[in-house]
Amino acid sequence: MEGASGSLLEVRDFAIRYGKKQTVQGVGFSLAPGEVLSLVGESGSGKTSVIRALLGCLGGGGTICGGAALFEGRDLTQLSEEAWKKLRGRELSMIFQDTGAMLNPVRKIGSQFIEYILLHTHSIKTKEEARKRCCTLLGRMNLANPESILGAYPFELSGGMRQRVGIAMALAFHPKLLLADEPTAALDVTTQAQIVAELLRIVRESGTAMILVTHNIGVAACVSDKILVMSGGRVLEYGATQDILHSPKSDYTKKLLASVPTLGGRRYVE
Amino acid sequence: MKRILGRIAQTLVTLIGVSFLTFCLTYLAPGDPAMMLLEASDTIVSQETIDKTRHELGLDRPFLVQYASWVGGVVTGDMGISYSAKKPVTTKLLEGFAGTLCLAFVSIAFMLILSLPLGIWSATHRNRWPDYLVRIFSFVGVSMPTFWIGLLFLYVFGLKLGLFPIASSSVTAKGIVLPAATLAIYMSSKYMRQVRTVVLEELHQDYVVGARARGLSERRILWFHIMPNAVLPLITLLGMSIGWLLGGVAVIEMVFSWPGIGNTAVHAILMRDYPLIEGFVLWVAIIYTLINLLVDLSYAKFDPRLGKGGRA
Repeated sequence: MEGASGSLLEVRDFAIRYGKKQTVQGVGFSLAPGEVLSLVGESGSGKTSVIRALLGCLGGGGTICGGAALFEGRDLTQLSEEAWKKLRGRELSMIFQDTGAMLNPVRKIGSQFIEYILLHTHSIKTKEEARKRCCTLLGRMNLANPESILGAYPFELSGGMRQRVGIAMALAFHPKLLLADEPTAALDVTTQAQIVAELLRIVRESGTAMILVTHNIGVAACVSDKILVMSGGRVLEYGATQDILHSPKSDYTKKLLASVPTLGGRRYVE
Repeated sequence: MKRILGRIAQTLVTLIGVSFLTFCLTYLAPGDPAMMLLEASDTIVSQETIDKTRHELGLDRPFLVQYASWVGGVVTGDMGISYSAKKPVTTKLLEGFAGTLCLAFVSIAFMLILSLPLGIWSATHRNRWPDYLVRIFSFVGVSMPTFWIGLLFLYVFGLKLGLFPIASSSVTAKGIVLPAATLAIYMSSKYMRQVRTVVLEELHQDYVVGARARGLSERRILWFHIMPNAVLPLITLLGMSIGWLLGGVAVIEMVFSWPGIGNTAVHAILMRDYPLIEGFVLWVAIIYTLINLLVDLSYAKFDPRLGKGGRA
């Protein structure tokens, strides 16, 4: 198989079902180590379902009902809970739209971050060491005063800070694959640009491959090597970013591109 | 701080209102305590003696004067003398309270041991056999009246098997098992459902997905993430149960002849022992309002969002 040689993740003919309703079908793509792929599409097109399914965290009674997702040759759809424990949060990790909501509201950020560090690192034994590690990781995300962040509850931080905490946590173990679910959709535009830049820098530094889910084709164009356009649970278009931008085949992609505002006669995506 | 003071003031107003209402009710109730007191001593009484006793007891004074002198006494710890026992009301209440406190503590412990694991088990195995089993148990438990469960226990474990005493005149470890178990079964039937509902609700929260995505084990998620959130709604319920138990569960205390405050209250009512009834009702009101106050104040401890300038 061609996937076995160079690719990190090979998704084939993926299908997801919620109850009796099939919402995603025939999704396929491949990702090389360190590559960035954007999943673009409107709300409800199934893009979030795809990456949640990849992490085995489909909510709301959703199940994977067809296809395969080979991660370094192993099919993620067939993994046992035991095998998942070694992968999830470590080799594969996820950034959510609102990290604040994904953290326990009644526990301090520090206690949850330390719990996470201790869970996956065997070299770090004490809480004190783990706390230091957390501070280093938060510092890498340009968060001043990491100590006070560790002592805060999720609701006490601003959206941008929470998102930086989420990124720091997701990249704590240099995962091979990062799944980012609209990581900037809940933020204001200035913060969005900063966070995207920081995320990209850190992903490139650690050689992590990333699947970025976004409805903003402008962002996708800036950051990704490949783009996959989804609509109604199916793949409309998939290819290298340059190809998609310069010669979009589907009308939907053309519309998406046309919707990006121009600045000084040049589209942001160029 | 301001919120705490406000709550304390509110508590005081409630207590004054309750004491006044209690006093009114017993004042208006039919039956003359002076007569009851004299009849209890088995002598034939003349109108003169009755009037004399009424005067001694202060029953011939105007209503408000009686109320004021009673409240004045209460504040200084003197709730009057029980007509029937000829002892200070405070002493009578404290005697009964020891038994009630033990019973409340042990039955709450039994209840938690029973309903927490079963409720969680039921939630994590939703719509599978453990869930059905727990639901049937709680349905049956809620449907049976406590006195009936109590009598059943007495019959089986007391009379037939002879494992536990049938009546307790003092507080003993062996004597507490059956009444506490009866109360625990009754409360558990409600709590199991409550724990199940709360845990199910929390299982669908985003933070659980987040914790799974970080690779935490299901057990860790349950005990360290879901439970800290689930205790919040349970605390309210627990406060109400503790209030209910400390007010004396009269029926259970009667069935098991348990020397508790509920038993004291029933006797006081039968004897029309006004000072003791008033003392008892005031006692229940104090317990309820204080526990409510504690529950309110404890929210801030369990939910940081309330403590730091969140919702007041």
